[in-house]
Amino acid sequence: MKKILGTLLAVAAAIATFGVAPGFAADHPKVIRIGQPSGSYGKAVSLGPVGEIQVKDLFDQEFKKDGIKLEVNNIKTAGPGCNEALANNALDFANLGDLPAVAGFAGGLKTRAVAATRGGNTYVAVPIDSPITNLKQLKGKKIGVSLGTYMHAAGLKILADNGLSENDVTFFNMDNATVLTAIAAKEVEAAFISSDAITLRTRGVARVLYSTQGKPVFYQNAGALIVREEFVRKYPDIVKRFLKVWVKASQLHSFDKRAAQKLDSRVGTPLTTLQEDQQGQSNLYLNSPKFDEQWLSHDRRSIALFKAKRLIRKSFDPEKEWIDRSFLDAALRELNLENFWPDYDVNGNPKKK
Amino acid sequence: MRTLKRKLLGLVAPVLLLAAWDYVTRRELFSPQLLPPSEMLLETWWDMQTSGELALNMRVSLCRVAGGFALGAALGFALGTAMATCKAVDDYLGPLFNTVRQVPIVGWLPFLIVWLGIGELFKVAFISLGALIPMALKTYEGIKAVSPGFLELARVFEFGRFRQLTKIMLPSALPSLLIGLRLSLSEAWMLVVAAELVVASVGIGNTMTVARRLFQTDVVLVSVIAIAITGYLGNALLALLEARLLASRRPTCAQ
Repeated sequence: MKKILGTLLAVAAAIATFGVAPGFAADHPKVIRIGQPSGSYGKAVSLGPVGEIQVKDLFDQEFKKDGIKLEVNNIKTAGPGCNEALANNALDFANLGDLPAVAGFAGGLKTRAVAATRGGNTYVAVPIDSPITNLKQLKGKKIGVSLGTYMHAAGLKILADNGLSENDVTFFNMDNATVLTAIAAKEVEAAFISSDAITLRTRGVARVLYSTQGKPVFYQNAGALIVREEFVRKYPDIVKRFLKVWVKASQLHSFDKRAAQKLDSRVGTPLTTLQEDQQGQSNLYLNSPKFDEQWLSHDRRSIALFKAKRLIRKSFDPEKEWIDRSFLDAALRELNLENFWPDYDVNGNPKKK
Repeated sequence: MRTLKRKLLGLVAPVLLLAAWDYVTRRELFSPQLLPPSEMLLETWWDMQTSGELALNMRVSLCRVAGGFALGAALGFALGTAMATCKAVDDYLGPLFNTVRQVPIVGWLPFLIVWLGIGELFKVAFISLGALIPMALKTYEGIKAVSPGFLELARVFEFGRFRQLTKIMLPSALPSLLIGLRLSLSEAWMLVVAAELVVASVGIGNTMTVARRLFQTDVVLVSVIAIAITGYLGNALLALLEARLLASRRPTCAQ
C-alpha cells in the first residue's frame, strides 16, 4: 500500500515538475518547413543563412533532441511561389524578397515578418549585339522579368528614373532560368535579372546595360524572413528557437566575406560573379537581420510605390501590423549579439552611437 | 412560357453554387486567399472595371481570338471542303490531318514559340491551329453526310463542281458547319487564355498571370469569371445565328 502511494506520489511529482509531459509531442511540429526562392541553376542547396544552417548543422544542434527536422524547399517560382505554398499551409517560414513579402501580406496572407534580409542587386541585361545603349531606349521594348520578385520591383524604380513607366515597356513573365535563356536567344530585348547578368556577360552572350551596384540601397532588395501567423500562435517557443538558429547563421555569414561567397557559390553562381556583385559592400550590412531604420524606410517606401503602381491593392504599416521583433530581440539578447550588427541609417551607413 | 421556364432552370445550379460559396466563405472554412468571399470579388470587379484594366485586357484577348478564329475557321473550312470533295486531297492529307489532330494543341506550344517567337504571330497561329481542327472535321463530316439523292439530282441537272458545292453540298451541310464554328470559337477562346498564361504582356490570361505572381487571388477569380461569361456570350451569339439560318432554311426544305 505504502509502495503504491509512493509511486503515485512520485508520478504526481513528476507531472508537477515536467508539467504537461504527455503533451510535449503536440507542443512542437515534427518538421519545420522553410521556403526559399531557388536560384537559376535549380540546385537543391541554398545560399545565405539557410545555406549556413545546412552546412554547419545549426538546425540539428538546436532541434535534434526534440526530433524536429528541417525541410528546405527551393521554390522555382521564387517568392510568389512561396506565397502560394504559405496560403495552403505547405510552408511555415519563407525567406522572401521585398515585393513578394509585401504582396503576400497585402493580399491577405496572414504572416509575420520576424527577421530582416537585405542586399541583392538588379541588373539590366541586353543581348550581346543589342543596339540599346541607354535605359531611355527601353521604351517599347520587350523585357523579360520574373514578375512579383524584387527584380520586378527594382525594375520599376529604374524605369521611373528614366521617365518610363511599366506601360512604356512590354514585360514578359518568366522564371529566373528562362529569362537567362531568353536573353541569350534574343527572344527578349532586355531583362531585369540578378547578378546572373555578370555570368551572362562573362559567357559573352549579354551586355550589362545598368546595375544597382553603388546606387542608394533603396535600389537593392530588402526582404524578410516571414512565418505563418498560425504557426507563431501554435508554437511561439519553436519560432523563438528557430530565430536563434537564424541569427547564429546570419552571424556566421557575416564574419568572412570570402567564405560567405564561397558558400553561396554552391547554388551554381560562379564565385567571381558573387565577388563582383558584392564589391564594395559591407558583409556585415548584407547579413544584418535587424529591422533598423534602413530596412523600415525601405519597406515603407516600397509599400507606397507598390500601391501607386497597383502591385498591391491595400497599403499597410509594417511596424504596426506586420513585424514582430520579439523573437529576433530575444535571440540577439540570448546570444549576446545585440551590438554585433550596427543599426543602419536610410542610406545603409552605420549609425553612430 | 415554357422556354422561359427552361431558361430559369439554367440559373438553378449557379445560384446554388453561389449560396454554397457564400456559406463556405462566411464560415471561413477556407482562407479568403484560397477562396475570396463574393463581396470581395464584386469590389475587385468594380475596381478592375472602373480602372479600365478589365476592358483593355479583354479587348486585346478578343482581338487575338478574332484573328485566330477567323484564320483557323477559314482554313479549316477550306481543308474540310477539299478533303470531302476531292478524293486525292483526302488520300494525301487525310492520314496526316488525323494524326496531327491527336496532339493536344497545347503540346505545340514549345515548338510554336521556338518557330514564331513570343509575339502576336505565335498567339494567332496557336489559336488558329486549334480553331482549324474542329472546323475542318465538321465541314468534312457535313459534306460527306449529304444524301446521295441530292447528288444524284445535281447530276441530272448537270451542275458543275462549283454549283454542286454551293447549291447542294454546303446548304445541306449547314447544321454541321455551324456546329464546327461553335466548337472552333470555344476552342479559340480557351487557347487564347492558354497562350497568354504562358507568355504575354497584356490580355486577360496575362492579367491572371500577373495577379497570381502578386498574390491577388481575387483578381485571378474575377478574370476566370469574366472569361467564362464572355465565352458563354460568344457561344450564345453563334447559337442565335444558327437558329436564324436554320429557321430561314426550313421553308425551303418543306417546299
